[in-house]
This record gives sequence, structure tokens and C-alpha cells, in this order.
Amino acid sequence: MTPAAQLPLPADWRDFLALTKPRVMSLVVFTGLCGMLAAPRAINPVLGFVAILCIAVGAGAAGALNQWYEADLDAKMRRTSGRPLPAGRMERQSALHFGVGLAVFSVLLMGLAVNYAAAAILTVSILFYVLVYTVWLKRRTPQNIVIGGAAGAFPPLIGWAAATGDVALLPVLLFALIFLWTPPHFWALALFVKTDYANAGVPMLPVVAGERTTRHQIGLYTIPMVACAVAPWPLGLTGAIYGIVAVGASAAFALFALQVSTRSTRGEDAMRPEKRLFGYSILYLFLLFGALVADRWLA
Amino acid sequence: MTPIDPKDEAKLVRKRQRARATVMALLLGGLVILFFAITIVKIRAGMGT
Repeated sequence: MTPAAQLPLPADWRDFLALTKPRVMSLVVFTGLCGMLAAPRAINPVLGFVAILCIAVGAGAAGALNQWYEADLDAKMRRTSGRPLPAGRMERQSALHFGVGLAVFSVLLMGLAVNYAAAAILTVSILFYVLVYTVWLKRRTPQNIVIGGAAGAFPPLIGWAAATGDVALLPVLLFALIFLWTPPHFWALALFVKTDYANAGVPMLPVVAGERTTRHQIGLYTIPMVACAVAPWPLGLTGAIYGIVAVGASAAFALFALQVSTRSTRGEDAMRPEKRLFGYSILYLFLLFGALVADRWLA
Repeated sequence: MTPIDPKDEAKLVRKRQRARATVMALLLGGLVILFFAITIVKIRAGMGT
């Protein structure tokens, strides 16, 4: 028998869990669940659980493959240098095998247990995040998160497709909402962690085009985002519960975005408006999707 | 970086192997229950074939 001391130190199971980016996964699971609950057809609870599990595992797979590909980049940024790969707690190949395994498992289970439409959209979302965003866009263009944001916008579509077997206008609007929400959300973050991205050579908009352009773009993207958030109400796709929450929450978002887009950093600026917009943007999605479900089940 | 004593490293390797084996066992047990539940739902819905 090989003495244990001669074996390579196996990675801790918590490091595998960390590869799946659990915090990002929570928002993905929430929007996917809301997409499913907002659908006009009810899904069997067991199959609904399986669908949400597949969305979570698929998101975890994408996160693991992202960390596998970006280990060198993560090592250069303070925010990500403690992750399992840059910290040297895991071999890169383990992360690759783990990510591919999870991706295949989630898609197969979704297809066989739920339906093929949801499995197909799940496949596209994983491939989009890994190939289009991580491999192709992230290191090449400051528009990386604009197009890459689509990857995070798929969960409501998947949830809806899991319940109904097809796609309708409401989940497409939810897709557009998250797609248009991503740039102001990430650029607000990029404004106060600019140095980190610059050190790693990631062409985030504040690094490449400057702070002023970024602030301007945050304001510009907020307009169509607010339109997509409110649109389901006048279109008759939701009721007043969603409509009132969407109008109120979007007005607050627009106000915070306006504050960020019309100011400039001065000296020892604590970047409070940017941090407030970033924090509120997360709450904003929770509010809208929560209201959507409440509207469907209470109205 | 301080080198780890071989005895301590052996203990750490075994500890991690045990923890990973436990997590795998729990996951596999959970999957068995899940697949059983899916099968029951599919049969009841008349889509078992």
C-alpha cells in the first residue's frame, strides 16, 4: 500500500463547493425558481425541484469552468486570489473534470427528467458563459459583460421552459431585464474595484474607456432596463402587484443610477453612490422577481 | 513556508479522504432517493416508457 504521506494532498470538498460560486448560484436559483413559479402551468413539485437542482448544478459547472480557465487572472486580483486554484489548494485538472462532470450531469438530468426544451436552454447558457464570456470576450473587449450578461439571464427562461415546455413573451422580457441589468450592476462594481481589474489586465470599461464613459453608459443602460422591468404590466402579462413594485423599485434604481452617472470621483472619494447602486441592484432583482411570483399566486 | 511533518501530512490526507468519501456517500444517497422519486412521478404521469 502506498503510504498516505507520499500521496498528493487531496483538495478539500469545501474547495470544490467554492468552485461553484455559491453566492452567484443563489441569485441564479432564485430567478430560475421565479420563472418557473410565474409560468401559467404548474409543474410537479418533484420535477420542479429537479429543474431547480439542474439550474443550480449547471450554474455551478459554469462557475467551476470559469475558475479553471481564469486561474491566472484570479491570482492577480485581491478579490479572487484566495480561490482554490490561485491559492494552490487544488489542481487545475480537478477543477476541469469537476466542471465538465457537473455540466453533463445537469443537462442530462434536465433532459431526461424534466423536458428537452429546458435542457437545451441550460446547455446554451453553460456554453455561453464558458465559451462566449469567459474564453472569448472577457480578456478581449470592454463589452465583455454586456454580451456575457446574457449567460446570467437564462435562468428565468429555463424555469419557465421547465414548467411549460416552451418559451413565451414574459420570460423573454425577464431575459432582457437581466441582460440589460448586468452592465449597470457590474460597471458600478468595476468603478470601485477598478485597480484590481487594471492590475489583472481585464479590459473592463472603466479601465479602457475611463470613468466618465462608464458612468454615462450606466445611465444609458438603465433606461431600456427600466422599460423591460415595467413592460409586463402595461402589456397585460402581469397584474398590479408586480406593476406597482416594478414602477417603485425601478424609480429608485433610476435615481441611484442617475446619481452615479452625473458625478465624478474626487480625491479620497469613498465611492458611496457606486456601492449603493451595486448593492441595490441585487435587491432590485429580488424585489422584481419576488413581486412577479406574488402577483401570479396572489392576484 | 514551513514544511509539514510527514506524519501530520498523512493524517491530513486521510482526514480529507474521509471527508470527501462522506460527502460523496451523502450525495449518492440523495441521488438514489431523487431518481426513485422521479421514477414514481413519471410512472404516475403515464410517461414511464
